[in-house]
Amino acid sequence: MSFIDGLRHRVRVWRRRGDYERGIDDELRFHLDLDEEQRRSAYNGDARSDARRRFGNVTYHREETRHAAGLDYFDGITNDVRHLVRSLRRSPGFAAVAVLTLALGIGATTAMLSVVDHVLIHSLPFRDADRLVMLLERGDKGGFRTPSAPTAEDWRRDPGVAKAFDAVSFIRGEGMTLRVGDDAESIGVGLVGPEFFPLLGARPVLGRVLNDDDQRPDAPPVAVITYNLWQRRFGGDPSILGRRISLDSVPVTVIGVMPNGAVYPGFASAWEASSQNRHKEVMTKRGLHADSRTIGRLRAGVDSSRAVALMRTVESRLADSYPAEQAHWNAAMLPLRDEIIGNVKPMLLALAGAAALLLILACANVANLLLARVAARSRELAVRSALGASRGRLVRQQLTESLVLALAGGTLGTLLAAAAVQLARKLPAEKLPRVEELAVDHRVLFVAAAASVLTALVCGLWPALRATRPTSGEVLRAGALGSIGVRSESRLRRGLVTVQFALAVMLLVGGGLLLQSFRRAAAVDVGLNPRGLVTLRLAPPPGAYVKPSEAAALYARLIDAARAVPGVVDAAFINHFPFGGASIYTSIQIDGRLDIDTSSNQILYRTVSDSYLRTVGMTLAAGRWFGDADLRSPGGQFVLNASAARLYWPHESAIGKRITVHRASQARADFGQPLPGVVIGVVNDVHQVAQDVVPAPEIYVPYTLETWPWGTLVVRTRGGAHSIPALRDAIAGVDARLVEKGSSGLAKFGFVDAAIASRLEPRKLSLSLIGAFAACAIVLAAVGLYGVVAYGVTQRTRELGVRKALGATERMIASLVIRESLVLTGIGIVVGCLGAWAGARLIHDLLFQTTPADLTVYAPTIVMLLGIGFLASYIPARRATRLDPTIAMRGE
Amino acid sequence: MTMPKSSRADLVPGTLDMLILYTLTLGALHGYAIAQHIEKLSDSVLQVEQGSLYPALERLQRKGWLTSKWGQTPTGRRARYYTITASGRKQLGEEITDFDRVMLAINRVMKRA
Repeated sequence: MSFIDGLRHRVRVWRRRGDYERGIDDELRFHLDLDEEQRRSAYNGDARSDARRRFGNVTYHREETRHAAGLDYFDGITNDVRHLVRSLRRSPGFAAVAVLTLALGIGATTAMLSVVDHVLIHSLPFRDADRLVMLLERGDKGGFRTPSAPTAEDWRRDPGVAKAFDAVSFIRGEGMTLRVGDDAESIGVGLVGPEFFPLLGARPVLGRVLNDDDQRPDAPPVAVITYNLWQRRFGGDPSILGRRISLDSVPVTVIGVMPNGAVYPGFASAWEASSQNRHKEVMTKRGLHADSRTIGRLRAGVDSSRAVALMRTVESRLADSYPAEQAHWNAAMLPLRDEIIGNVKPMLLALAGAAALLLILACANVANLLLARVAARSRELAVRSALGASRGRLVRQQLTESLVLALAGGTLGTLLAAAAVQLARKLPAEKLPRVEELAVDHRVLFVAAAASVLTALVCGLWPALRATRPTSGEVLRAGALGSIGVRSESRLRRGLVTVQFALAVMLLVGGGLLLQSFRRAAAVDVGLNPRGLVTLRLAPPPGAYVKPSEAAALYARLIDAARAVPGVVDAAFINHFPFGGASIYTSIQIDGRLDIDTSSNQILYRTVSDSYLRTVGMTLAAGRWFGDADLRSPGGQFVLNASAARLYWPHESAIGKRITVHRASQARADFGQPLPGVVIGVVNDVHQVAQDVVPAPEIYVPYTLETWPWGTLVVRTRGGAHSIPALRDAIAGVDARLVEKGSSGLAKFGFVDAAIASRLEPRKLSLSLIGAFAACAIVLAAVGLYGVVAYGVTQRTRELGVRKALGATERMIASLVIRESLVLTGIGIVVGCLGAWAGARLIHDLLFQTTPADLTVYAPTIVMLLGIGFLASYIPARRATRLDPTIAMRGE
Repeated sequence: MTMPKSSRADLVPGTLDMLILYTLTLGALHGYAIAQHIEKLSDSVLQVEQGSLYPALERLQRKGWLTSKWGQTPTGRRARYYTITASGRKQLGEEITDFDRVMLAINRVMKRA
């Protein structure tokens, strides 16, 4: 018979225990009655008492029968629970700390790892996403570029490469103006071939994807849109299919909606057939590495190194045929996952590591608490054991307690994890891909809960087994003598406290390194003065200001109009303002210099008005900035940033050097045409992406020389937001169509200081999370130390009493206690510092101007933890000094 | 949890279960009748210690070898009737085999076989 069957029988009996007990009574009475009748017929004596005598002790037999029936099986558990509730009520602090510690460990770890798992594993909604790769070219001197369309086509057509890939697809990215009714906005559009959607392995939620027919040059223009655009602009309207929208003034029919998160490239809000490309030269010019991606799906079982080798045979052929464009470049590939989620990975891994440390710390703390509790109870257990309680019974009781604590902690931890995940779901989608699908990861929850519960059970069971050993009489005798306690347990507890302090140091140092990085990044001079600087994205209405001269005149009028607004100091025009997301690279040639690679886009291209320098507060490093005359001059005058000047002329001045850049506005017919000119000045670097990203080489061109079809109006104001209504009116005075209504419209004002600050948001977020972990770690470590020291004092009551009676001062007693705890703290700190130093290498990518051994982080951490070690032992130490020696020595 | 002491005095230890199971192969009986039956057939040599009978019946039920039901005696009293189950019969077979082997071994030792 299996244990389960037996248990089932017991449960069945127990559920009908009232009937059952009565049944046993009835049955025994029936037996006695029958026996009595038999006796009576046999002889005349007192038949009843004879039957009783024959039967024996009725009560005893009833109890035996109850026991055999399993009726008392659950009595024990009911008693245990009653006992437990009583004892927990007596020490609510213990119960609360144990439960909260477990909850914290389980909750924090589960929430954090759920997010990490979601982002790293589940965030790509593509079939067999592991086989998706981005195809690139790597320069001999380092650096990557996306291949030009003809190169991608050569790869596609090569029979060798075809063996390695199911498909290869070239995607051209383009910024377009989407108009729906009155509302206009600028969106990213991917121009793709028919192989693109099958390659990704994502099916539309509505309608269909682009097919071969859509690719015919005479086919009507159609678009597939992203889930996000569908929700945002069309409110998830199910009748969206067949609807006409306008993309760059071309009417386009919506034919499909992709599922949530199925977006590639990341900037795309819609896809059109590549035959709709308005800029044909992009598809044919070999030297053009415009905004594009080439992706591939590896054949099942083909490893990436073999695929790269096959692509390289094509590359070397291309290098021979087109030395100008292809020499010194070779094929390379990256997992698509890295491109899509690359920059959040180190942060997520750091957070997952922090969560894991916290879980270990929580387990150590629970172990410590339970060991202390059993140790404190060892006498009670020994007494009960001596009075006849069976060992199994005592152990079971201890186990019940651990189990109840573990279950309470586990439940609370699960709730905590669910709440934290719920909170994380409120993050904007650009911070966490597919955030709305984020859910508590049940495997992680299981592992975290199992780890904590197992710790609780082992730490409850093991000392209970020891304390109830047959030799536990020693405990009783030891108690009478004043007790030295169970040595190995207290050694274990000291070890645990040391581990706790080491882990706390690691978390604190990790958090400290990130805090220093954040502070140093926030203190970086970005090269311009963001205060009161307001930006406005400009996009002329379709069909208006098409000619460069018309657009340039518009920008000039807008600058003048903005300047006339009260509270405005100055105004300027730039094609792409830094910290704004979009930017355009172009290629540069330097006369007489063959060592400069001209085949890739290596320099950021800015077309600006002459007022730009003073409006944004940039500073000049050498030469001069554009003057009015430069704007009207037909010849090229250029200004470089310091990074560009240093890169090209490391040992001499850049001023006066002749260079050629290539026009980079893809909307213009003269796209890619050379613009020869001379360097007239060098400005100090302005950060373009974020405070903690090194500025890239940059070239400034007068906006009259290459007039961007759209751009950004930059306005220096005294009052910031206060000037915006008047500014809007002034713009509308020039052309009302520029400030159309609608929150998603083109006329969106931005504040540069906010834009710059937002670049450190991810750092801030991870910092606050790790800060919270570190705070929990400190509390747990302090609780652990306090518990050990306080218990030590209780155990040494007699010894301390004797010392005091022999003349030890309060100071001596206190220092005795505190010294011991500082030794534990000290060892923990040393171990922790070594661990942190080793672990900080793992978060190297997240550090900014901070080394893993930054003393400004370690020193305060060490001081702080020593202080906490002192405080945690101070309270028990004070109690020790207040011992009354007579009471202490009299003992029990 | 301590196990109940099995019939110490008048029965060979461990044989009570076997006797109960065997008795019940005759049909459903209440506790008193089981005890009576065992005593009668053994010419009162085997005395079932009353107090161990009922714990044994509970134990056998718990193991799934017996089931019980409340019913009426011919004299109209309420009594609990025990019935042997299929697995009880199987168990009985095993116990008899064991018992025979032990008896044979004892007889051999006593040089009676």
